[in-house]
Amino acid sequence: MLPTHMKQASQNLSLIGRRLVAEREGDLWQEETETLPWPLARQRRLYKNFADQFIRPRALEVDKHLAEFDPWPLWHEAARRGFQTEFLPWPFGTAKLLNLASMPSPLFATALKAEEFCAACGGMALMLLAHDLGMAPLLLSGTWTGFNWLRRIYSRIRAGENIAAAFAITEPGAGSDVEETEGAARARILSRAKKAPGGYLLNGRKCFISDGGIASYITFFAALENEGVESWTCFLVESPMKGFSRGRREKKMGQKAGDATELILEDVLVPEDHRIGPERSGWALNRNTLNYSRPAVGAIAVGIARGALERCLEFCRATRLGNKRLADYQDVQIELAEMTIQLTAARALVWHCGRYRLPFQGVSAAAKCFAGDTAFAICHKAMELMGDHGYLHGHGVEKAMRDSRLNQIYEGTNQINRLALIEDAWETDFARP
Amino acid sequence: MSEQLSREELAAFREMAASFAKKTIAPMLAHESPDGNLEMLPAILHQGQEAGLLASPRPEAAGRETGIWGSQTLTHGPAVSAMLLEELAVVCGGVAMCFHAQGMGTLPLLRAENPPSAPENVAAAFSEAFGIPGLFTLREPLQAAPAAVETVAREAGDGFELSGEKTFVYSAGRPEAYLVFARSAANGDWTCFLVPADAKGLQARNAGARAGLRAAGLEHLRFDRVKLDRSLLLRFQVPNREAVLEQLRLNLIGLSAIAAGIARGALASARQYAGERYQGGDLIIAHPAMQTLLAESDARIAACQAGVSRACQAEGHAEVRFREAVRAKLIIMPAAAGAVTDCLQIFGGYGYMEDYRMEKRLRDVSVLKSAGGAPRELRAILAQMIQEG
Repeated sequence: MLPTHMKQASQNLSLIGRRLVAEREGDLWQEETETLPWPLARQRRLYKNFADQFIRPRALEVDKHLAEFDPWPLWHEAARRGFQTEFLPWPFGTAKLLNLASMPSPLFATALKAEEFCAACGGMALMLLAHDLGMAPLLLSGTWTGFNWLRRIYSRIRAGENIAAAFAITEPGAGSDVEETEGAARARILSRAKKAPGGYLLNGRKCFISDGGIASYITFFAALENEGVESWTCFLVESPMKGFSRGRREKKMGQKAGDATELILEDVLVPEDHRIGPERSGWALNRNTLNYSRPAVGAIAVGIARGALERCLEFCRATRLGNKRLADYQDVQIELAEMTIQLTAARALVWHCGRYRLPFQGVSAAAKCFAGDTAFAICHKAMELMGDHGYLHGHGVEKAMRDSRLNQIYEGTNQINRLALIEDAWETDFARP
Repeated sequence: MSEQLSREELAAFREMAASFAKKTIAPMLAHESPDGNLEMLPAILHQGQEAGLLASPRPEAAGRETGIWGSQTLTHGPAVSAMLLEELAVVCGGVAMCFHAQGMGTLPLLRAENPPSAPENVAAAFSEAFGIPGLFTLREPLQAAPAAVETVAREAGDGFELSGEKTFVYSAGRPEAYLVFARSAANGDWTCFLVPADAKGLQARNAGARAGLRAAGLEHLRFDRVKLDRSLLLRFQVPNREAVLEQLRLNLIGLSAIAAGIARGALASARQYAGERYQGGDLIIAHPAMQTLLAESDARIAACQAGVSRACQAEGHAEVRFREAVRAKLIIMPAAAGAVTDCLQIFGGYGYMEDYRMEKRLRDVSVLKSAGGAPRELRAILAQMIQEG
């Protein structure tokens, strides 16, 4: 160690001066974890351990041989640890009260989970995480019906059944429309709910539905007959129900282990007690669900980028160029530092959302956009640093690049999210006289 | 100075390549798989041969002169081949890479003073271990280079013995011979050999699964004391080092042209999609946010084409021309990749799915960013040239 290194040089300080110097022993991940309240720090370690043990080792194999992937064993491993029933505390679910009390936002742990799982594999993580998105409207509806369904579904999951949920808003002719105010007002929404004896008859198609291929419960949004999107109402559709079927499973560029499937409803009779919230409350419920989920989507991006950086770093340490390791070259170090800075900034913005008790549209959209764009850039930089090796599947970085690209698209494209931020703060900030 | 083709001649070449891409390559992509029906590739290459687009070392082949990096390159310069590659890449970057790789393997044979009899399918092997260390050794004493060229040719009996490894060797699929750049054990100078694929001691290994450009072959080669007849050593009119520099320059130009073509294809698809689909009651193209993406892409593509053109027109010493090509690739790749990803964004969720081939374009252009010289390597070369004035 050179005498000019801080650790050495700080010995020359006074006793109090030495006490004011940060002594860093752990890696950056550990240091950041230490900044969390201890229940959440513990939870973060649990997520990481699970991801390292069950997700990371299979990431490349599943991406390459998708047809052979059975999601349920992994699902049950996660469920056994309580990771799939975290919206309700004991005795209904596995949310830890200390976690909920540690941060203003009750869903902060979801963001931690998303990052850790996605650092291991964006696809398998999506398969596990999309379930939370499907369940969110039940919780956010603030109704007894919603709570009761949540409780019943959680009890089946805890009993070990193959049960997952999915969130269905996107339609073949209305993608971004259902995530934006102005577009929605003029959009052609085709999913319809018609009052019928005992409940509602649902007709329509939803596309790109994450976990649509495996979900037994779908929070399905449809407009009431002869009305527009403002009449959207949320229904809990069960599979199987008569008239419910699945269409094509999309062939995606990345995040492959998490399916994106078309759902088709033809005269599906949904009982009254499957309506989540009052009639016409669906549009607000959809938007609020996105407010809660977008920080988690930001965390997905952070996780994927972190995975790319970790794998790139591994390569830079293992690869010798001339008489030294790639990581020892100054220009490589500058690139690695830049990636770390960007990643830290993206995570900071995601964690910033956790400071709000109720996440709102502007801050959620900001986290989703910034983390998504940053992750894609980091993955590309990681690929480039590795030269030709960067695009080989075996190193896992090109997969991260493919995985990360989806984060600029789903839950509203990043263009839509930017406009969502403007809309949210228009009267308070941007258009203020 | 190279002879210039007339505007009409250039337009005819361009039209021929565009028509070939549309009629012959596009059907391959109609197949429902990430990179199209790659089983159609041999037939496409065969038709490319007949059309005179695929370079060939055979004297009777049409592509010997008119093919991409055929002998017309020696008389007219690289602009025609770059233009043809761009046109092919508008439809498929992977197939364009096949034509490029075949040309790279063929051109030194056409340039050589003593061209040995060569099979049809030849691939050029530049890279070793990590990226293209050959670039460094072009400019530094062998021992001081960050990564020296380790593939060495030793005189042995009546011929030579070749030992070492080459990595990331692109081809039009199943090469019958490799054009291998190695250093002479005697004096450290560059040498270039035609090595038959079935030579004893040569092991070719598939590089494995990769992000894009999957139509093209990609191998790593290992030479374990491969015995070569003296007739397989190529001699050039210019010093070997200059010949290698020129070869690397053309490789960089070709890769840049393919990137520009992929971006053009992406923009054409995005423009069409945006003019047909609706969002919020209006055509996508009517939304200023989408117009911004289209406009940015258009400007970036124009910059890519200008960069390729400038690199093609460079004159002077081999190093000066090489420098232009390095600059071009360094700037063109992020611009092309930026255009492709912006165009993909216009499709929303559909852009991420295989159906519209936008995700394929993104995968292909992402590979090109690192193939044949990653940004870090290119910056290092340029920095060294700047230092030396």
